[in-house]
Amino acid sequence: MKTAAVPDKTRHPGRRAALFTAASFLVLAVCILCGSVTITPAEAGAVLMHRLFNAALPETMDPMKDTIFWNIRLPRALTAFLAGGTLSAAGAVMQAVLQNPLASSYTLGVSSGASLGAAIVIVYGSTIPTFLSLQNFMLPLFGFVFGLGTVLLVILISNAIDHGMRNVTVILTGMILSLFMNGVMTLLSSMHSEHAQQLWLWMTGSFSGRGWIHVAILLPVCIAGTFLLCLFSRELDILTFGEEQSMALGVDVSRVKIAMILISAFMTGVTVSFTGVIGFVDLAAPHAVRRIFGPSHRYVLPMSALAGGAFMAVCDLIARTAAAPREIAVGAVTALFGAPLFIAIFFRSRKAG
Amino acid sequence: MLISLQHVSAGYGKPKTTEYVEILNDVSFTFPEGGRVCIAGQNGSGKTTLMRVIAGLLPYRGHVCIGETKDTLREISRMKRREVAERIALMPQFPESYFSYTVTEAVLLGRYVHMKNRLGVASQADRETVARTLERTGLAEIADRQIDELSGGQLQRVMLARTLVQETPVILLDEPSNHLDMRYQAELTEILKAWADPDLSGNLGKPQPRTLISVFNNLWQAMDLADIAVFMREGRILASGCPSEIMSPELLKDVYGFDAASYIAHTAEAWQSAVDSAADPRILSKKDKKSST
Repeated sequence: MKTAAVPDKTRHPGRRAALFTAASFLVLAVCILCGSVTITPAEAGAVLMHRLFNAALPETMDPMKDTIFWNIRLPRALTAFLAGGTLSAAGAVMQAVLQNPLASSYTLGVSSGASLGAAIVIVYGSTIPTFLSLQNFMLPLFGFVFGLGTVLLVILISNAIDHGMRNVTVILTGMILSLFMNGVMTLLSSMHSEHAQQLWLWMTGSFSGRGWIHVAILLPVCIAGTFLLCLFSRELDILTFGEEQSMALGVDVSRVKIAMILISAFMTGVTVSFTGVIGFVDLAAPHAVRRIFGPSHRYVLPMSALAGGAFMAVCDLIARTAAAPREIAVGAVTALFGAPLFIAIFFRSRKAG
Repeated sequence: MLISLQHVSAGYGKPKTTEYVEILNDVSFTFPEGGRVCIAGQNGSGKTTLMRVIAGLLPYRGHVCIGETKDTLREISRMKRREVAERIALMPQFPESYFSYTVTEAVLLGRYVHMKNRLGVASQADRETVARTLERTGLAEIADRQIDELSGGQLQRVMLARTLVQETPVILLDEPSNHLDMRYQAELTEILKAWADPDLSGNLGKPQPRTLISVFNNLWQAMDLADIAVFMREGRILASGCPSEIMSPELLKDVYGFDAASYIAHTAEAWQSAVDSAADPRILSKKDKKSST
């Protein structure tokens, strides 16, 4: 039996949460300022005053910096932050619902499914009737429908293979479906080579060129989605003990599960349809947060959103600066950090049980 | 709270296919209010299935009803999960979780049906109930430990505490003494007796008539606790009644498929002779130490 001192995850959770929140936003701020053109906090302040309150820019300042900061850097970093946050909160929910610390939208194929949905809009978008052809709304819709479809397919198939729906079965099914979706994507891109470049970006994830419209859509999805999920934090806590115990404790399991899967698939689908497939953040962020705050969802959900956002902002910073002026796919950056972590968690959980 | 079973059959797998395995076979029984019922029988005789049916966790044919009186009985399968959980708490046989909740957090989840706040903040009253129950079940010292680091017996007590804080008039326990050391087996019996006693029950939850239904493999413990014993065999109730009136060697032979009474007598004899002849070896070593100083 272990006698090691227990990390005290219960003391001052409010104070820790406040610190954690401040740290996440600090990271975001640093990521906004850093890049191929460094912008000082004073310059950033001047641009914000200029853009929001019509104040004049200081004469010494290069007007290019205003454009870079306001039109490129700020919306891009915010999109990355919101995408990471949305994916991570949704990932934490998947893990609770499937009673599996290794589950995530990525391992379940939701991301691949959603990105396939987005790809279909990109390739066939022009043939969709005009009143629906507003890409900015078609993308999230298709992303959601395909993401949800994939997760339902995963649950259906793994249930048919193994009635107990054991963790390994669910994850393997998700991985296989995910590979299959990627195969379809590759097929699409070779059939429509005029879109190949764009599709390739969707398969690896990118925040390049993301603008205020993406922030405007992701912001409510992230905040409202995470808040909705938080309303179910106690049910999620109970669900980690399995369906039967949850029912005995008074949880309407099937209703809660359906609601949780719908909301998290929606969040993931919308995000992925704007950013492409970005893996591991939804696995890494909740896991790290549980280490600090314990597994209670009323902390795990909002803190995962913040941690995932900050992590994604950093990954995007690396993606746009490490090989500048060329960009690395942000999905590759998250995988470089996330994959070793995934293996570490997997080994730890295999040893434990 | 009365629980009435009429012609209940249940099993696993898809009904009317070759996969289907029927476990409970036409069981009828009424659990009286305030009874301390112990269920015993061979492995695979349907004890756990019976518990799951009563808790409304398994589809069944026939009628499983619960109510204050005979006239207010309601079918379990037609009740909402919340309504069932306000009346019946179940302590599972194989607790498992892949997440590292602390003992306090895990037990607090038992208060779910009483909680109103949607953002997951527990009320002071809930916290006090949990603290009192942790104290009573000997968990106060490990209240902040993570449940995935506990021994089997400790985890078993966490599940017991979680079941008790649900403050239901009926509790179902599926082999609650699993993994428990001897001290906690004795402690468990005391806790359950106190819980079921309408006069004493004020110390754990509101006073109300309590019905206890528990599966035991340990017949000594079952006899100590039960005022009604139910013996199952092959998915049917073979006999039920006051333990001192029905536990004949013939019945036990039928229930367990071997001469259980002789085995019990044999082990009791071996125990007695060991007690008679044994002396505490530590007294010797203490004397040795004294003489050497």
